[in-house]
Amino acid sequence: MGLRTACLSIVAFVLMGVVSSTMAHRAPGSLTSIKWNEVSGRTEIIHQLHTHDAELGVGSSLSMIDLSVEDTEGRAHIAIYVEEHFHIKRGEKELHLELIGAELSGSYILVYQEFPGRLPQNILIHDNILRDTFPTQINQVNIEDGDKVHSLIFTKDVGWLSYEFNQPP
Amino acid sequence: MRISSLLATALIIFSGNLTADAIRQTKGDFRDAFRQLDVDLPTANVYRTASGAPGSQYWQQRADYKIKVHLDETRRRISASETITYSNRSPDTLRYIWLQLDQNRFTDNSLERLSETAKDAVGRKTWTEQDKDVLSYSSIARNQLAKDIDYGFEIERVSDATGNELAHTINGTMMRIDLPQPLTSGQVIRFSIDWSFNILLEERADSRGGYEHFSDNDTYIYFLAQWFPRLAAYTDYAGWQHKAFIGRGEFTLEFGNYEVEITVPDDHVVSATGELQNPKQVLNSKQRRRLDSARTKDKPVFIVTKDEALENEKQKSTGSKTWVFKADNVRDFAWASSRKFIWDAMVHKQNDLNNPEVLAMSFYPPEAEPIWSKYSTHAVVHTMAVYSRFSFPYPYPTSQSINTWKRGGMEYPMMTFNGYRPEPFEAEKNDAGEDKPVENAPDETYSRRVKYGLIGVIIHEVGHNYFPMIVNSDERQWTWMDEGLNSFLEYLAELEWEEEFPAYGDNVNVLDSITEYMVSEDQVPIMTNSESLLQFGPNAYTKPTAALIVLRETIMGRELFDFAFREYAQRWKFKRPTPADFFRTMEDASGVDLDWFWRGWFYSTDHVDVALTDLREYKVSTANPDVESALSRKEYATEVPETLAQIRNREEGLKYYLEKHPELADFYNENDRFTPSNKDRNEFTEMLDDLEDWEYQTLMRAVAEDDYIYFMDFENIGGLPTPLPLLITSDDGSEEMIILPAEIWRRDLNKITRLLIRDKAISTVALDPRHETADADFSNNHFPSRIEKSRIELYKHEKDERDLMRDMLRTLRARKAGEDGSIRTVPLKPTR
Repeated sequence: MGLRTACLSIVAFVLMGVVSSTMAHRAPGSLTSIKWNEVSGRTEIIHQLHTHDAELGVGSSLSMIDLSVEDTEGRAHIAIYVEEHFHIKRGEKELHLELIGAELSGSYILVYQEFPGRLPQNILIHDNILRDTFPTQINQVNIEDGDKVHSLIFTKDVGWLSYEFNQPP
Repeated sequence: MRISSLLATALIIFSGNLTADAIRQTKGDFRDAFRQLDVDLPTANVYRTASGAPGSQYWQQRADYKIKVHLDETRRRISASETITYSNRSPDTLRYIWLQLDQNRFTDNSLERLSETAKDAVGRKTWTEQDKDVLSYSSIARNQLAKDIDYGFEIERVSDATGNELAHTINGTMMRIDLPQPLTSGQVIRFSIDWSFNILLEERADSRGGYEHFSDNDTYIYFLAQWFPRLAAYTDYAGWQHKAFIGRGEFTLEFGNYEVEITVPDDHVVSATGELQNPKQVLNSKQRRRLDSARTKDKPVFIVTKDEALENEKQKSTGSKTWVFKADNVRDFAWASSRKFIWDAMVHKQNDLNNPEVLAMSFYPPEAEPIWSKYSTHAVVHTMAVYSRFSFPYPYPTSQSINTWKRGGMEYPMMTFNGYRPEPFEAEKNDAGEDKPVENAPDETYSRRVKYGLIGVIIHEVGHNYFPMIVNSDERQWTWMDEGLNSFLEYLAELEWEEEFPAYGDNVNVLDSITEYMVSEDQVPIMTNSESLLQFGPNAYTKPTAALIVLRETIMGRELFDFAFREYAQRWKFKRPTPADFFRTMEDASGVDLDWFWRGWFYSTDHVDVALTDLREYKVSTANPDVESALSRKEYATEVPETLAQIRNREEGLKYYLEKHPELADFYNENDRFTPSNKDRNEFTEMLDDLEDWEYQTLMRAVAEDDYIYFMDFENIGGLPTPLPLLITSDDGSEEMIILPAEIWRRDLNKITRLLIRDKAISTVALDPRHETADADFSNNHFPSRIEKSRIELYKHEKDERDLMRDMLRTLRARKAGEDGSIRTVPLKPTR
């Protein structure tokens, strides 16, 4: 078979402000936790980003050099950015995650999303938060499954990762 | 969770659940979490003692360097030559020696480039990857960079002291030089290397060194690191440490003296490891006067001001100057050069006869102002003051902080490359929408986060001078030994900068922030080789920091911990410790058995989660039926209230049948079921007769004291043994804090019951109320138990904040949609 040449579309956003990565200091990364809340009957998704990464990375992606987590607008931009870069699918169907909001917690900005009810047993996750801006960005997604927590790790060119819940819904 | 059978097998073996070892057996569920560590640590020898100190015949190699380097700014390239004097202080004969060629990491065929796959990055995982055909901008930019220019060392000549060529073989990031004569123990060899390489645009390559380009005014900062062939370490525990450099595991190096001549354009300012030897040749008289004055000042003094730097960066001189630096007893050498540099300095005085004064300095471009002149050099001084108290006086003449990028940091002896700049800077526009001239551009503001980020990164990187620049641990092998210990001291130094320093966030305790990581099934122990770490930051930085804070504040106490930690630093100053040396010294100097702690926190992936599952209250019974019957009656009355029907009958004035026929009353109407019988009384007398004298006295005293007896049940869910700090609140509102030591778990790691005797009734108990053990789940830490609201539920509760955010999200979405063209509005014009 001859070589097939396909047009590969370049993913995500254009590199705007150039951002040097971290060396022997805090490594750039985000942590997302997915937990079922028995009381509210909803699945809670909390994304935790270091504010400095969020300001520089999201600011550079949106060409907003003065993006600040200090004001509501800045936090809202980051929340929408996260919403656009974090997806859960069941098969081919993308699940709608409700964006609740974002707030500061110390050096971190927390972005909140919810899914009404339990997630399906088989899901696909894509977490592209800040990965194109920071080449060494590592995103960890912690999924609470019964009394265990499993992690998916998104780095470099990793695409969709699948997860099957042990504890059926 | 569905996993393939092969992976399932691997996982089961890894988890060790089903295999017998000395800690977990195949029979029963006993887990020996307190098993002594000696059997697993390397056997002590004449080089390293069982107490964790350097042994009687401890040795390490030595490499002294004389280097001449020339920066070709137009080609962004260096060419250099070095003469290395290598002393074989090992007992062994060496037929060849190995050098590190770290720039070769960036060659087209490097191990790092060839071994880069998405799967690799995912690590030891059970997940399937889909939709792999994606290409990111950063990937393609890295490839373009490699296509345009050849990177990596160009080794031009390797020769001996008399100029004869030496045979050498390059293997990736390492080079072997074959010696014509074996180098026996105690012998010294001198040889020379000539080389060049193209400097990388750092932000594209993550290269820890290179150049930064400021496109607005076409200016550059050069910062050179891993820029010369450096001796690989030869050690008593691993022989040659020539594990390839593939990006993460940093550097394992030998100490030595350096003399370095750096030739750069003559309008550049150079900062380098060590002390400047020829100020008369490279500085003007004004700069020399200012530098001398800085040596006496306890506030930063400008050697090059911002105005001078702005003037300087407009030039493009064609002449050159050679800056000469000397540094003694360092393990590496780095330098930075630019015509953009502002330069300030102040003195740090310390109580050390050998080195009473250190010159603290900062170099930064105008874009870094105003925050750098305000905080950088002060942060350098503060770091030395705090770290020295916990280890040893700073032993070098200078300590420098250089702004070479926007974000992150990297450490070298006496030199640190640090990020954080105020934003915005470049974005300033004039009324016509054009860029303003640079002189007027800086928006002299900075955010709170940039301020504390800057102070934090400088403390961290300057702190690395102690670990691993002086306590010279093997970075290629163990990241935690320098990053973990350093992050811990960084935290202490930040807390000493000002009250409420947002070290791990405004109110965020490091012990709370690490738990999300520690609960995951997919992590590796701290004691894992650098390149195999799954989550670098939490594993090697935050988790060891959390561990050491638990040790210092809760398990050992500050006095014992600080003494032992200082002892470790002093024992291994200018030497090369291994993990065992740290573990052993901390126990040796404190007299605290910490083997269980190292096993749990450093060798396992368990986490801390203890549940307070039950609290049962008792009183000592007198056993005397005449006393107990009244108590029993009272207790029954409180537990079983009178029936409502009976109360209402009485209230209605109903007359009972018995009242109408009093002759029906008998013994049972006069005595209820609690009234003691003679049989009860006889049994009581017999019981007392059977008691030994001391038992009788004990019972009588306990009855007289009338204490409350409690049985508290704890369940260890996370698996790590942990002390149990308990806040006990009594009925009268008084509070008492007690800490039960971790050894309480030594016979049963799963469930324990603790007896407590108190003279007051307990109303509530809170386990770890000060958040000092890294407990991952506080919802099971209270008696009586509490319902804890989730973070999102609490957020929804804050109505104002939530409403503001909801409105803002709506506004931004609408704006975004409009820009996308999906929503267009018809332009309207008022008609009257």
